[in-house]
Amino acid sequence: MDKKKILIIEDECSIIKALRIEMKDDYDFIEALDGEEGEKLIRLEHPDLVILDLILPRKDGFEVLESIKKDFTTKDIPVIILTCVGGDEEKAKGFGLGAIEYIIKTEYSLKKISSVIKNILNKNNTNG
Amino acid sequence: MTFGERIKKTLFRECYGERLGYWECPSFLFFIMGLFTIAVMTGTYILSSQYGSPEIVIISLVIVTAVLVTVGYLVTQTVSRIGMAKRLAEYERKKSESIIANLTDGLVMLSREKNVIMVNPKAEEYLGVSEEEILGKKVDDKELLVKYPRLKYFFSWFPRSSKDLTKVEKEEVEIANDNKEFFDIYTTSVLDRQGKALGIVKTFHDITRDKLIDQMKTEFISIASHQLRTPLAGFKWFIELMLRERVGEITAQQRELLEKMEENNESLIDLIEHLLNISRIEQGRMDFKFRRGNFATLIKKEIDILEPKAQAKDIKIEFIKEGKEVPEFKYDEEKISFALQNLIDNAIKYTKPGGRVIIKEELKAPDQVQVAVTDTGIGIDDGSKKRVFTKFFRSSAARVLAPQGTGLGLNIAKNIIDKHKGKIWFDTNIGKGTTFYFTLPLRK
Repeated sequence: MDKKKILIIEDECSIIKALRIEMKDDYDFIEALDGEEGEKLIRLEHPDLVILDLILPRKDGFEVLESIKKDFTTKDIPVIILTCVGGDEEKAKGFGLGAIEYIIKTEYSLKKISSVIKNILNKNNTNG
Repeated sequence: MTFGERIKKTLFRECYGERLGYWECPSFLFFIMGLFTIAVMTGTYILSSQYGSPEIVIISLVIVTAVLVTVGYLVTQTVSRIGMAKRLAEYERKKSESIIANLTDGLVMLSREKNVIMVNPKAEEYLGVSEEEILGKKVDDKELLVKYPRLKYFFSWFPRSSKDLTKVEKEEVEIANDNKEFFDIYTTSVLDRQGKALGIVKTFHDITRDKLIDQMKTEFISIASHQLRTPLAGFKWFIELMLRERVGEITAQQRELLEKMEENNESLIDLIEHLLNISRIEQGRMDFKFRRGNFATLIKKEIDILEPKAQAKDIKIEFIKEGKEVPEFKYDEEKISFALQNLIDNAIKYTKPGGRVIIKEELKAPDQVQVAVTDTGIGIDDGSKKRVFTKFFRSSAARVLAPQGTGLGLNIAKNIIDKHKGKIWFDTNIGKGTTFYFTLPLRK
């Protein structure tokens, strides 16, 4: 079976690197370093899951999320917000816009993140 | 009013008004002198018609003259005293007026009926209305409020009960307009000798600048903390990858160092979390979600989380439920969890190995639950007692036993309990231990 494709939209290279090392055997990764590029890659590559940071150059995470959830060709792609912004307001906004999970970077270990991703992708698999 | 005072008020009005005694009152003195002169003249007439002696007339004239001179002297004294008192009063009045006029705070005096008696220039500026336009008018007059909308912010509180009359009420008011303005408003009642209200004085203190600085400080903490989270997450995950040998095998010594790094990194992450919580509370951005739940279950959950930590120090944790069963009630589980964890974690931290930590839940009233977290720890010294709930405060003993604490946990816990309308306090005994108590109202 083909490996699932995950798009990471994140401007901090160390975060991308850590995620890649942790999950390189299980998934294919593509990455975008800013919001605009991320949005473009979502439409172009149709990944199975998006890991989205909120504070991004050019276009912030909320804008990206809003626009892909409005587009019926991309609206079903699960999006995990992985960020360092963790107020109640932001969380509510993220879920309101259709994020499937909201993770604050410092609160989760890589192991935990990878199990969250696995769960989401498995669920989508059985549903699909 | 006594009979004497009543006579004084009717016959010698001006003396009553000036609060003069009978022997200081010119009209009274003239009145008495008139009576006396009539009496002496009558006496003289009777005596001289009987004895026909001219000496009597001369003596009576001398007496009348003497009385006249005495009265004249007394009257002059009084008049000059009144004049001086008036000048003094005038001077005092001018002094007070210039002090009030030059106050950097706004000041308004109102009658009992809320009519403006006095307003100083600063108050005119803050209220956005001139003295002529507001003097004598009622501050809650609808027309006036429509014309001068700022008034409603400054005159929102008035004493309602007799208890309100004896206190100074302080409110913080935010004026809703484009550039935010904040004021501390103090209301004091002016009372007569019997304690009856004559009116009220309101003073307005502009705290906009303090507020802005405070906001900037909070925002700075918030931004700095967010910025710090990303690199700390990077460290956390790299260390994790190395410890789990995802990037090659490591030696025992390398593991030891990496574990130390992980520990330090986690305490930095904790510090950032606490700072963010504080700045959220201060910005009023911490949302509270009150949901019904079983309180004992929550306590047990927190104990389970901290049990390994206690075991590692050979400390026993006990949970006791006392009194009637606590019914389910509404609270913010996440926030109360934080407060509970903080109290239990502190109890473990400051208790020596082999000690005990007891958590007691008790229904104190039909609508109130009390939790007590007791340890057999070091206790809190007198010098530190007052500051236990203060931001960033750490006692010297605490610094030795738990060097990585942030000094923020108890401040956040207090904020959380306050937001639930509960109370938090402690009893402590140096060397024997401390009990932290908190109560929560049982929201239905």
